[in-house]
Amino acid sequence: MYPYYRSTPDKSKVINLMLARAYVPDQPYIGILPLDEALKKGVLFPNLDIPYAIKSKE
Amino acid sequence: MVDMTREELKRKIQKLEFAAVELNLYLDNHPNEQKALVDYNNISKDLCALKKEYESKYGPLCNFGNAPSAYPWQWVNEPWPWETGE
Amino acid sequence: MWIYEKKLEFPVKIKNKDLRMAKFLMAQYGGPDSELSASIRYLSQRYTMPTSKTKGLLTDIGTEELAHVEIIATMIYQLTKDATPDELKAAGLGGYYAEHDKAIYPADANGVPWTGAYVQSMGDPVTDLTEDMAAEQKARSTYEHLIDLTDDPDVIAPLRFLWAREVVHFQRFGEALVNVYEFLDSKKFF
Repeated sequence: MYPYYRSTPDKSKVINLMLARAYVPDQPYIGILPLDEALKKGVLFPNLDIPYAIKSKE
Repeated sequence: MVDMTREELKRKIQKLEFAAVELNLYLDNHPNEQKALVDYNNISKDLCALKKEYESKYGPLCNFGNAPSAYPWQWVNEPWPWETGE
Repeated sequence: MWIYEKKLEFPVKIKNKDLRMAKFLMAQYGGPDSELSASIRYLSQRYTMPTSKTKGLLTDIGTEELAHVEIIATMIYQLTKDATPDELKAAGLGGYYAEHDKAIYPADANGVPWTGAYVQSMGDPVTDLTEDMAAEQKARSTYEHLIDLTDDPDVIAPLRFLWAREVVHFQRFGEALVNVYEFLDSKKFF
């Protein structure tokens, strides 16, 4: 199973980049999750909080 | 205020320190993100105070001179983290 | 130098013995894509990183991985507590018992000892950071397999935490790679 892959990027936004390089978009700072929730999830940032695809194992 | 148990205090330290780890890694890549830095400094301050409270009750959390010990030497006291899972 | 902190990064409170799961978890203690490999990999590569930011990031992630080594060891320790030799034998851990009793030893889920051959350190920051990104994905996949192998919520909780850490570290290494490309490009033109 591959719970990590949720959506495909909008290819029109990926232009003017040099070929043969790997890119990860920069993460903007949009604040933090409540600390209880962050420890439980293993991530502090709401925009990096990728849900686990298997609901029963959330 | 009701006194927190050892486990509750440890859990609160874990929550704060996890947030500090996350902000630290974020700031490594984004040293100019001032809002993240403010959050980091606030959390560090709370974490420091909570660790002091824990250490005054239960002994040092860190070795090598990072916290004083009452007599006799408390560092070697049980329990170790893997025993309690804390 | 390093300072030990007498606490886990994430709590591990396993109530039920599960020797087969303990055996599977060895994958992340002493396997190729284990937390141990991750830590040694990043802490070795940091010396030849070209920017101060990447030296810092590899130091910090390499250090956090040591805390993950401790979480996995704690899970194995708790899952095997009070196990008898007969129970270990029935769970496929007879060979492990013969060689190590119930001690924590860095081997993988099939008993193969950990080796430095699992990691690379190439002196090329693009190559090393690309390896690190792959390493985080391999560890993420391993956690998904481990989560598939259990229904115990006490075991799933730390595994879900560690799974998310792989995703966060991948993001950080990706940002670092872009930063290194920018640095190398700036050197080419000035």
